[in-house]
Amino acid sequence: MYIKKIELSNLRNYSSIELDLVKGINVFHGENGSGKTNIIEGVYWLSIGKSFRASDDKEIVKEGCDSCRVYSEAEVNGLDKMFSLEYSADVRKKVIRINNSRIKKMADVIGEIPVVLFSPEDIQIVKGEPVLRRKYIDQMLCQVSREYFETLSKYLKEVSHRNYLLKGIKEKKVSVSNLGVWNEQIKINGAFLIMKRFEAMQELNSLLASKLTSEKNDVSINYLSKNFMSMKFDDVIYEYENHFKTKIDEEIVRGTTLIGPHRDDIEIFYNGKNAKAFASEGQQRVSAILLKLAEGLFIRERKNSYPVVLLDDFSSELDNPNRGFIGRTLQQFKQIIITTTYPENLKELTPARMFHVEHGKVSLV
Amino acid sequence: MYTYPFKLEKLINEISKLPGIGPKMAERTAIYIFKKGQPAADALSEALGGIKDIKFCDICGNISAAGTCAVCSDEKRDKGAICVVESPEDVITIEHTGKHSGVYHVLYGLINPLNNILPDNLKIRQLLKRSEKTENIREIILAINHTVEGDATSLYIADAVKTANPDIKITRLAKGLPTGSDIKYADEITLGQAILERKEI
Ligand SMILES: Nc1ncnc2c1ncn2[C@@H]1O[C@H](COP(=O)(O)OP(=O)(O)OP(=O)(O)O)[C@@H](O)[C@H]1O
Ligand SMILES: [Mg+2]
Ligand SMILES: [Zn+2]
Repeated sequence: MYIKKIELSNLRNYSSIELDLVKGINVFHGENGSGKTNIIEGVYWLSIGKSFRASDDKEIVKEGCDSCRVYSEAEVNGLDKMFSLEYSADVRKKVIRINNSRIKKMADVIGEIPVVLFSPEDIQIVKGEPVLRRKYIDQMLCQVSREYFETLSKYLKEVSHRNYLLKGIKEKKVSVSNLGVWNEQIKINGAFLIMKRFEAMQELNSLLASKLTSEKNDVSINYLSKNFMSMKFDDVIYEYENHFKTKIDEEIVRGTTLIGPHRDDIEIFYNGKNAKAFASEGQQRVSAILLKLAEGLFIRERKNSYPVVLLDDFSSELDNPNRGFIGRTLQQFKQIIITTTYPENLKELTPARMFHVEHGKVSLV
Repeated sequence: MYTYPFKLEKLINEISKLPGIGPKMAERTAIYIFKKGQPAADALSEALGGIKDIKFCDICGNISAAGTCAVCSDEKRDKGAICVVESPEDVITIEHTGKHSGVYHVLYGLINPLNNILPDNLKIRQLLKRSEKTENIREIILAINHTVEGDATSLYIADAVKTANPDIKITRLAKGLPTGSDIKYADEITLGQAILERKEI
């Protein structure tokens, strides 16, 4: 799919802008604080239903306004579709429409306009805490599978019920027998999530090896699960049962469920070595971009539709050869939106369209 | 400083104890009743007085005009098939489908540790009593939402009933209902279909 037109109304520093986008690379350049990231944020918000940098939707509404809206026209598998998302701050309500019909649940919209975002903070996928790597894999799978999304939401709620019971048991307010049903649910949903993640990892690795590699750069990943040695469904169930039997005392003392997808991690290798420990800043950045592009190709294979690639602040801290390499790998996608402060750095990427951003105004170059 | 007469304050106070009614709403409601005048207030208080004649059915726990509810005392109902529901509203919804010819059991809630609701806080023990061999129950149909708490409650009941009487077939409404959705809001056709396509667990 690709976006033909996007309109932002009262979003961040934009009152009202209308942009005609094209297939290929769309570049937005401008000074710091001009509003480049805000454009990417708008597209992302329409696609996922939340911002990647605002914890509260209120923040993205233009100061002094009550509501904001993002509207887009996109071509999806040969069909022209219209999408809109409107948020009213006073009643804290979102209204989503596809082709002018109201859609009740955001879950029914996620994945309609698939996107994959790389922003400078995403280097933390490589450098940061495990929770960010779990988020990386979960967000990817939620975009391609409704079942994964629903199971993950159930699983996380089950774990909080169970953790609450563990605390109650520690304080002698409830009996251990109450854990039974939660152990059952958690092991089945947990094993499902682990299987899906493991499958996805294998697919990502083959995409990284076949489509996202150069002589200098080679990234691969490995699912890290301390307690699950084998990644077969029955073995995972068995490990869970064993754990619930033998580690119950420790779990009561700690008041928390100690194993499962909510504690797992992903190990990232750059040229065969642990990227977190051994790769340089620039190499970590290249690794993070490649992981995101792998996510994009993964979404393409699963949904049979190209996601829009959003690259915020591209080119910062990448050397010429790496910019060239990433530029070539981008050719595999249908539409890319890039923001930068240095448009000169993007010449070799052969942009299809260049926009200049200046204080909430955007002009075609 | 002016305040309302004590008797109006008293009415506001009682109304505000009702679920989902805040202090402002209680105030508005009380003033509305006052404005409607004595006949309307008498009608309301007569209706409230009638509460003492409404009971829990001593077999299924449903709301009843007598000690045993109309369903449980109906000769034509199949006493061997119990449909287990979360609340009395669900009984009404399922009755509307006309697809269940057995009787009911009302739990009054679902297992929900985060809200401190454990099996003992629900009418599960009564259900287990009904499941004993001497009672000749063939099937227990769990008409419980497919939510996290609904799944846990279903699993708990299935295990406990199996232990009490392994001969009982335990089924759950098919996932024809969208996940996470509430039986209360399902349309009659979808719900009727889900009753017919129930699955053994
Ligand atoms: N809710 C809001 N209402 C109005 N303006 C806002 C709001 N939130 C942010 N802004 C403004 O938007 C601008 C920031 O835009 P944005 O983050 O897109 O900048 P940028 O072009 O990406 O800059 P950089 O190159 O530094 O990344 C700032 O000038 C900020 O004051
Ligand atoms: Mg920016
Ligand atoms: Zn009854």
